[in-house]
Amino acid sequence: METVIRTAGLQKSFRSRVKNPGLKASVRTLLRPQWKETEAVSNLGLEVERGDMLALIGPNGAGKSTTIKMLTGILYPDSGEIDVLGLNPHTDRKRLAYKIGTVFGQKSQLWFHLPPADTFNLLGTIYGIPRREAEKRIAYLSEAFEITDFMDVPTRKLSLGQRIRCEIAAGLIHEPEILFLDEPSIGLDVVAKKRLRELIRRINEDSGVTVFLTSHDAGDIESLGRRAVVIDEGRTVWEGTVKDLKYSLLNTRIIDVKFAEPGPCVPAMEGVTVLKEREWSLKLEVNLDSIDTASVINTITGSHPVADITVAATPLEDIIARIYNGELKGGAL
Amino acid sequence: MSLSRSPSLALMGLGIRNQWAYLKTFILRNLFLIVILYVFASLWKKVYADRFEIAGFDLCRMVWYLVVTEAVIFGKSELWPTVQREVKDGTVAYGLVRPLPYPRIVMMRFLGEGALRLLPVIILGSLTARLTAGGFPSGVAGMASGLLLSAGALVLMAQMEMLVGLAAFVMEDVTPLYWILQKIIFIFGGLYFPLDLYPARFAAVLKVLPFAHVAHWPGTVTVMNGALFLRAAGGQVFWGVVLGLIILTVYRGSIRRIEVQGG
Amino acid sequence: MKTVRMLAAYFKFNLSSGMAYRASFLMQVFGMALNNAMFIVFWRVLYDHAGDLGGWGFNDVMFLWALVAAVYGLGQIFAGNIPHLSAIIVSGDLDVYLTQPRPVALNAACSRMAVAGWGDILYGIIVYAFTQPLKPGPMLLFLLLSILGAIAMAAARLIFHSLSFWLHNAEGLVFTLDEMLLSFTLYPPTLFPPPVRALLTFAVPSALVAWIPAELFRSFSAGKMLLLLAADTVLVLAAFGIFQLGLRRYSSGNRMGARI
Repeated sequence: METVIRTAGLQKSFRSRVKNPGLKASVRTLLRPQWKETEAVSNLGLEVERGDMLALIGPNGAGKSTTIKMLTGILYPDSGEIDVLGLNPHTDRKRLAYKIGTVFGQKSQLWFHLPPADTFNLLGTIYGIPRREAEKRIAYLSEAFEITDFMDVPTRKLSLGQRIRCEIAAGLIHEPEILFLDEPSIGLDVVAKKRLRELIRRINEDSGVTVFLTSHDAGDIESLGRRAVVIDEGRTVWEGTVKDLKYSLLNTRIIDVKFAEPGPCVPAMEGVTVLKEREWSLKLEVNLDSIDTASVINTITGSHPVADITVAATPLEDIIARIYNGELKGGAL
Repeated sequence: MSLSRSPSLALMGLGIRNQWAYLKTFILRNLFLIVILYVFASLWKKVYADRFEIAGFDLCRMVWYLVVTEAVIFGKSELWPTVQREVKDGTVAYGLVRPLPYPRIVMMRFLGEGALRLLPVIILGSLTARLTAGGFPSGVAGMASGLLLSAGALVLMAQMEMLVGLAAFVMEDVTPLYWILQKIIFIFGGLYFPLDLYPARFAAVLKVLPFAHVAHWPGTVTVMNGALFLRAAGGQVFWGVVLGLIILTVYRGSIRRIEVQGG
Repeated sequence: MKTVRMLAAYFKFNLSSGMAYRASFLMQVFGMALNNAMFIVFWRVLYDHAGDLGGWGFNDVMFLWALVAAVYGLGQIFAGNIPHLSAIIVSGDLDVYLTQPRPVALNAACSRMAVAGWGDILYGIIVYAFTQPLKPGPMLLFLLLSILGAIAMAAARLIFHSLSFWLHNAEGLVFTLDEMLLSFTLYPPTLFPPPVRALLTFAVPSALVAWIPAELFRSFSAGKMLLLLAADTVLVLAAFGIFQLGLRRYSSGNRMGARI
């Protein structure tokens, strides 16, 4: 496999002026400003293979956007190496721009008062695509993205879900090899999110575009990322496949029990924690290292009449929250 | 330590701190005032190079005249963008539930800001004039009437900008309207030069209009040491009342339209 | 070549979108022309009471106005985003231009058109037509000088706005510099003593934008013309250089700087 994105020792910090509350402090700041260095990204190393789909996960302010912006040539890193498609994003910004597509969920590249079709044509010119080719490409994309119906509606009248589909289509006009998506699902409702995820997956699978996306939405990662890198405070805290993240990293299951009759207590078991206990229901967390799910279920059904049982893996969101809290260390680190 | 716990002092501190952010903008705007005054003083110096008096004004009076007229224009904040915005986003309608009519609330705020900003503008303007053209050409009477008429000019300006802003009820964007009001005041209101420089008949007509009461009258009365003060003040009161009535009519009419539209 | 095509596309694109709101478009164009026309009255009245100002008569000043109106209008039309650059830099909104394969400064500056610029151009042409010789030679020179002036002005303003890369609260300063550049171009240089004139040649290049072109129009000399071309070239190169240097300090981010 060919590596298309590689970074090593990537470093970027921001300087901001410290301003304490109070008038006296204001005066002091004016006379002698104090600066605070904040490390947005620190010693970050990444590798992405062609055709892969990588999700960069982290809470707000973790350095996700900063990373994506360094990879796309928007920000200069303080130090470290970046190689995207064999190019340095800063010295070869223009050449790289032809090969990558970028979509920022929070910053629109569509002209607000004009229909998407106009922006698409303009982008075609900016990327120097011959007219006939651009027309073909736009026709193809508008069909694939199911945006044909509102190609001629001013962007300001589109719903957020429709707009973001147009944004991604706009990012693909010049047939990039890598698509960077920064928080694509931000602000979308559940239905629109689902649709967007299917779309992104299809782009990746059908046309082989490498997808690099950031998100703080666990659902995005669960359904999109084949590989995930979790970062916090600019550092990698975990990396691996999403499957690992979900099934093997955390050896726990959640068991929900509904009783047929008001409940007694359940015998204590090694490796089982009671999360919630009510008269008619029970919620347990099972640690698979000490006990297997089947024997826990057997014990419960044996001791009391049960109406319903569900077993689930721990939600990804919880896992990620635990990673952030430093409760877990991934195998890759 | 106990002082800083006093609630009123704390409030004052907060107020000052709130203004702190504007200080820089404020300094820069005044810097621009000095530049403009300097350019004009240079211009008049060249004009006066081979003559002593134009329409009753010598060089010194001409430059000080400009200090007075520019003070109002530079001292005021801009009222019409606020009104335009609040007409467009419907905030005007919320004004209906307040005890004071909307135009009065906005204009009072504008006058408060203007009063605060006028003083440094006058000081800086005076310094520039002093350095380029000589000392203040009038006495106490000129100074006092100048301050009073400048305050009146500020009120008239607020009213005219209010009307421009209210035009947003019927216009997409009122900015061009403001440009034109501004330039009318510059040229036909006497901001750049006293109206006496025009041919007598034309000047007589212009002097009656509200625009002259924002610039020409405050400027002339100040540098002519209070002469014709009552004429100027009377004109300001007259136009203040007329514009006030127009605003009231326009405002009431427009608000009714909002209600009809079910806003 | 592709960059030229991009600029042409922006032009067509912005013009058609400006026309979409026709009432507003016409209002702005004629509002601006009327706005400028008021100043003719000022100069007419002034010259009724004065002789020539250091060798500059009414018609010379009118040429200055025609030229500056055309210069400013061209800038507003072809590089209408320049007045917003400072704000764009401070809020970190250059990202879109940085991800596109075109020169960032040109791309950002030219992506918008301020339609009121058409009013300035209209006004410039009218003033020229009424006060200057309507012969092909001078008219061609007027056109050439307007274009050169527009390039010089855009370059100077690009430098002013680039200050925002270094000074974060520079919007007020940039605005003042912009205004000063424009204000001084509208008055004959003979009003000012030599040190001020020097300042207005090198620090705020009002001389490059208008004064020298106006002198060239009055009495053309090939040597002076070459000097102007050379100075404009230096200014343009400096502008792109400074912008490029500033880009290294650009902190994008979804207001990353503000959030900390």
